[in-house]
Amino acid sequence: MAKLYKFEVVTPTRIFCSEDVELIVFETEKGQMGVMANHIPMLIANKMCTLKIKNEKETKYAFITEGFIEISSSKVTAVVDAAEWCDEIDVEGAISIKKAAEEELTNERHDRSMQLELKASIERSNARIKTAGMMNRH
Amino acid sequence: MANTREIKLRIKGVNETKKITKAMKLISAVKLKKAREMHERTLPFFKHIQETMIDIMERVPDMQLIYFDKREKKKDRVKAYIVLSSDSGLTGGYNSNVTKFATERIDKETSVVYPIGNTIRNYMLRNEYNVQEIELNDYSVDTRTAGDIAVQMLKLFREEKIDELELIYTEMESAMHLVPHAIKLLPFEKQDFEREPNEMREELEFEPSPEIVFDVLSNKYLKGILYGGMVESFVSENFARMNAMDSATSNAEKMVSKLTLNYNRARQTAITQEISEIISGATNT
Repeated sequence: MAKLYKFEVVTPTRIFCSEDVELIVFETEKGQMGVMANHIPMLIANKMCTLKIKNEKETKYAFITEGFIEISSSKVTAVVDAAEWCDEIDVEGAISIKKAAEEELTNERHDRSMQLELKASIERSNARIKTAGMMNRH
Repeated sequence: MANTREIKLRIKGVNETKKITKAMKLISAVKLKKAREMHERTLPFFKHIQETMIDIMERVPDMQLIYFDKREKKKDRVKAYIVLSSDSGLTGGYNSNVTKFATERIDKETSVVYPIGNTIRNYMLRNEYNVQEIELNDYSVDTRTAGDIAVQMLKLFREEKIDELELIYTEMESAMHLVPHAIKLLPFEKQDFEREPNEMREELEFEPSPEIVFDVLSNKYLKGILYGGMVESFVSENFARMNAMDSATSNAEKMVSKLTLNYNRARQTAITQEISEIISGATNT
């Protein structure tokens, strides 16, 4: 039985989750990273990714946007722009957004910043679709 | 004296206007409350970001960061302003106050203006300010819009297209007092990130580097301030509209009662006249 620690995900619209967990896993520029209890204090910029949260009873997955994760001795806080549980994600919506963005991207009139924006939108949809494919395990 | 039919029509018209102003007042009240609630919910998020930025500044005080660069030596520095006003009128003095404040503050020759809201945009264009547009799909008071604005502004600042950025918005100081304010957004001031020294400071590592983490934070921090200003302006706008509509409604009520009095008088006069006509007709025969 691994030691538990307090974990919080804060977004502008709500405190997304606040509970005692064993392990969280997320992605950074350099690759995947997991945090368990008694980690050294750290401040990490995370990428848009699937966040895995393992607590005493279950393993849950959520989609998070880029932001940062602060590890202090007493608790771990993730501060991101948006977060969604994997079963909350509107997959059909994400697919249609992705399709629309891909179609727009073939249109060559767009300037570079617009193209980047469309690519970011596709990436975001991909990450959301991927997260939605995960199953919460009890 | 106007005839009764005319007065009756007038009363009907005023009553209908009253209904509209009353509805507008209620709508503004609801919007105001909603915006307040939204803002309160976002506070922990932005508070946390500022705290974290302070954490970094304390540990790595001599970080060379682009967003702190004042560029004092640069010639022809460009000052940019984001001015928040409303799209529609009927807001009492709200828009004219912002406009007045902005014209006093902004130097036409060396500044760029990013207007938000049609009233201020039209005014700035009419008076030949250097008006630039922020690219937004549609403006609504939420964190996403604030984020879009923040990203564009930081980009302009990095590319040295603007060297200073201020936000002009309206703050509701008390129930009767709506005051336009200006706050500096860019470059960041070091004193904004200072606080009482904290004994409990623990060692902190950064991944990938303090600069990159700070960069991510800068973006969100600016977004937070912008959002705060947007909400404050929105609240002020709706409060001003609420008040304007409230007095319009009570004026309408006064008018209706005055008109009703006139109507009754006119009716009475008509009846009296008719009676005296009948009587004089009867006595003559």
